[in-house]
Amino acid sequence: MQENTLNPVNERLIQEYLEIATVTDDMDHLSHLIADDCVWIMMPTGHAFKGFEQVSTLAKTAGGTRVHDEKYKVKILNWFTDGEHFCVEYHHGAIIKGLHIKGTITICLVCHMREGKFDRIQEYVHAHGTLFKLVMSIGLRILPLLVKMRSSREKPSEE
Amino acid sequence: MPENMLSKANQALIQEYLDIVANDSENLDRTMGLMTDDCVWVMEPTGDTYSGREELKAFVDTAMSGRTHQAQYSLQISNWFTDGEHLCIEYTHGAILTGVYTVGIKAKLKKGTSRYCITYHMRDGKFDWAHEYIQGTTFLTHLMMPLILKRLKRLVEKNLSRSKPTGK
Repeated sequence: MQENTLNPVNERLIQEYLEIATVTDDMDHLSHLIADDCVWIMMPTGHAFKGFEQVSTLAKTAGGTRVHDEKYKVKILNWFTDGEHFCVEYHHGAIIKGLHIKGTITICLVCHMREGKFDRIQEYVHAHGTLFKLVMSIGLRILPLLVKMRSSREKPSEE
Repeated sequence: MPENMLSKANQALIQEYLDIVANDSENLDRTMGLMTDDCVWVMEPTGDTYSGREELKAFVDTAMSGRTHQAQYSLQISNWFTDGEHLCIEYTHGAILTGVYTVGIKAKLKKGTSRYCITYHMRDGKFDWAHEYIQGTTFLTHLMMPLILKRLKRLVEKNLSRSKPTGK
């Protein structure tokens, strides 16, 4: 038999992540779980968001595009860890702001943990239904632009 | 501090599986040997489910007939890990399509064109469920993937109905 161990800081990281995903939806709190050199790869496009600023802006931007209700929310299907990696699968029901389109996606995040922070996240995304597949496909492709625009808006001006 | 235990049976399963993925990915018998009789396989891009040995064998056989691998058109594992009960594997899948489920289109897909993540549950040295995530990374492959998988599902159903006795 081989053994894997989960240290207390990574265990706390997982607990905090699950709390954010299922209860609080607090993207500012999520930022605290990200390492300074974190890389988040959106697997449908292959785009890599690199560094704390890009990744935290990604979380806030993506989080800001949708709302949840009693029916459309995050439901964790499965998660497991070997102590260093963390895999979580969930259904994400969401209502897209502005467009008022309701839809669900299945997501699988494969994360690497280092000293209580995520330093690598790979996100696999499958939308349900033809319309939502199209919305997500376009949305994920314009996401890097939205993140860039938000980042430049939030940077303090050099006056 | 929680501990995960990997049993010898599940360790042997993982070693056998990784060898098949890397070196023998067109071997139907070895692949089927990894799965329990009641194994359930979910294709996440479409939600299609294959349940039980007969359906799974038809699915794997049909999927294998749709592509071959060689050199740069092969599988490359990028990451895997286990907690003892589950296995997560990520890989890129290059392939030469034979046209079986791509409406006759024979294309060569280089590694990186499609990225895979499969999560497995292990029971007594066999997989008893799998969730397969497939990402076509170009706009076209991303939109085409569900159509290809739906075509694959229809072919599997056709093959299954052919193999069933007619009752005459």
